[in-house]
Amino acid sequence: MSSVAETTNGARVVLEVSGLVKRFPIKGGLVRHEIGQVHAVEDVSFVVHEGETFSIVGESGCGKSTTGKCVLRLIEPTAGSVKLDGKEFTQLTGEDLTRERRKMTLIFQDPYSSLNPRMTVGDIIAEPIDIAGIYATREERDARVEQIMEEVGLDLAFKNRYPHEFSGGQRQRIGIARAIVMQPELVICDEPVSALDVSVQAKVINLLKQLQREMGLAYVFISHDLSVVKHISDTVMVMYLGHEMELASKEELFGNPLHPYTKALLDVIPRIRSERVQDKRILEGDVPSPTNPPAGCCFHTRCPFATDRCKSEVPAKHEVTPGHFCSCHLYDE
Amino acid sequence: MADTNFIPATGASEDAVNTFDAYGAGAVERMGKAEKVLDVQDLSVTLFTEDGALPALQGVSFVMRKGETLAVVGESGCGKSMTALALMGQLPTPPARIVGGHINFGSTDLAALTRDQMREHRGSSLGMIFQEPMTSLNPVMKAGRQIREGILVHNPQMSKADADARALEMIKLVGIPAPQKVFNSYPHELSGGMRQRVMIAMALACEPKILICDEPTTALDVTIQAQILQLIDRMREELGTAVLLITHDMGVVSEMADWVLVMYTGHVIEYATAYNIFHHPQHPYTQGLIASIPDVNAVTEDDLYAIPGNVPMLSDLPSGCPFHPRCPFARQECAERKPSMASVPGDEYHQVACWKIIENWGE
Repeated sequence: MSSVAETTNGARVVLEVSGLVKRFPIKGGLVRHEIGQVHAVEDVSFVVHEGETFSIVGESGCGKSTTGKCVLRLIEPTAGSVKLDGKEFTQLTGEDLTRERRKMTLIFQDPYSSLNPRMTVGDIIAEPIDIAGIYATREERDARVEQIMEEVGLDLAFKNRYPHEFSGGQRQRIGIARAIVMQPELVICDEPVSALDVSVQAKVINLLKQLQREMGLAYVFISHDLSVVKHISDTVMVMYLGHEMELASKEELFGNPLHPYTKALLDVIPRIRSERVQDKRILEGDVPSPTNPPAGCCFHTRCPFATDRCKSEVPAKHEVTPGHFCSCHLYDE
Repeated sequence: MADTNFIPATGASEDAVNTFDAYGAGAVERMGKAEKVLDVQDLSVTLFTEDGALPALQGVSFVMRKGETLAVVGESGCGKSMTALALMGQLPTPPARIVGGHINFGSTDLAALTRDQMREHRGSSLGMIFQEPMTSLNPVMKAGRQIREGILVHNPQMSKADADARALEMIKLVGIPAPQKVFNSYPHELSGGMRQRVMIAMALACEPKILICDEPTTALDVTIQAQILQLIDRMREELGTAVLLITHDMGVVSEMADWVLVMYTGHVIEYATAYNIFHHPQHPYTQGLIASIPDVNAVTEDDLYAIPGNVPMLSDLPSGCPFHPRCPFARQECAERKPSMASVPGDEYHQVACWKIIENWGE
């Protein structure tokens, strides 16, 4: 992975994930023994640098949200390592874990269900501070809350109001304020704009970019919307059925996609002023079940270029050009 | 004074546009010639709530033509779903009630029908598919029987065996692999895309003249979304159905629609061919809406254009033009008088409700 680090002008590595695996057990039968596994994430590796936006894209069930949650240890990964600031994060327990977790926060998709309806906006934003107990006095705490509210563009008069009084866009601002109040190094944004209308979406995206410039935040941006990803990212990883398909800089991935799946995804996104949907080339079939993934390359069931080799042999991740990784037999030497 | 550059011009150069566009000059020529299937005039719906009457739709007028797709776009709460429900006679009554206008379907005014009279049209003249196929299918009934149910209601003389055959034929038509298997499956055994195909088969089983699609692909993944949209478009062409497509995704509109109706707070603010909406949008709201979408083909890294302010609540609509508090071009009169729809000079099929255009303020 060192080669990726070098290509990004030597910016400090904030997060390094290697060989991340998450399998969920399926239990059944009389004694609830394990009868199968959901292969949610299979051997995913990437690094995120300071001030970088690293996007994970893919269809539902591809493991993008699970990857985000495993990084935060909201669910425990089955295998693999997550290094935050060069320190192994997966082995931490107790107070060490609480302390290190301050460096990583999460913005949720649904601004309606991720805010406690019984807490005021001020208390919601202050909750991480209260848990960490970093400010000795009430005044300092309140001053910090007001400062953050101004930074994300929330009127200070809203401080004592409740979440139900706000629109989706404003709620998402509250969620963002809560995420950045502890000055984290890394924010995991799990579909932060997909529940919002386009005009509100534009405002939230602009806000995220502005905060990144001001605070040097690194983002792991999880989304299925390729046009938003194209707009916001520096580096993009495409996932399919828990596997990493392609990883490259945004310019490379959108300008010179290698993997057949990436190409198919780029073909189908609805674009303004493009051809009529009837004339499009569209990937056939459905995503296979992660409980029983196909052997070999997981994409071979839908891939127009699949060969016999793809059906039996899992393709390894190759660095095709510097910084551009792809897992496909088409690019084997 | 504010100039047009206030809202950024929307990307692609004209040359690139002509090469890639789905709507050549020929297509534009044909517009407005096909047979009218539905003529909605001045439709108004009011929600009578405990807190007073809220105007959900105000003076909505449009025409649907055979074999053409009309897209209704706008942000949440603009009245697009309300429009669809009014056409289907499925407004949640109370609180919603049609308080004015006509929905002319041939010689009948659907707005004036009773519930029982409407039931005859629903399913046979008008079919509808919804956003979330799982919640609109009966979970304890096999897919084939659900399709058959609608066919039998509208063709009481048909035998069950014939209806089954028709249902199976529909399943094949919507491109489901292994049709017999899906016919005998319960909804939970099907994937999201398959369920939506079953919904489409059900909606089209009685060959309705109009198919209303309320956010048909919002719950689906991009590759499946494209499959479903392609299917709806193919059905429109093969069966000559007029399609009303409700969506918030401008990309989908661009790839599907012949006509576009842009709505804001229950008002139609622009109504034109899809080509004109994307190449020559007139209303500042339409321009802002298009400019605020990240463009995959764009090369800039600039911040996105964001329409200032928020959508007002129905209970607190501004006076005059509903968009004036957020409009960069607004003048005094915009706050005083509400503009009504008028044709853009030189194009009778391009209508807009904006004083700037109607009174030709110029730049």
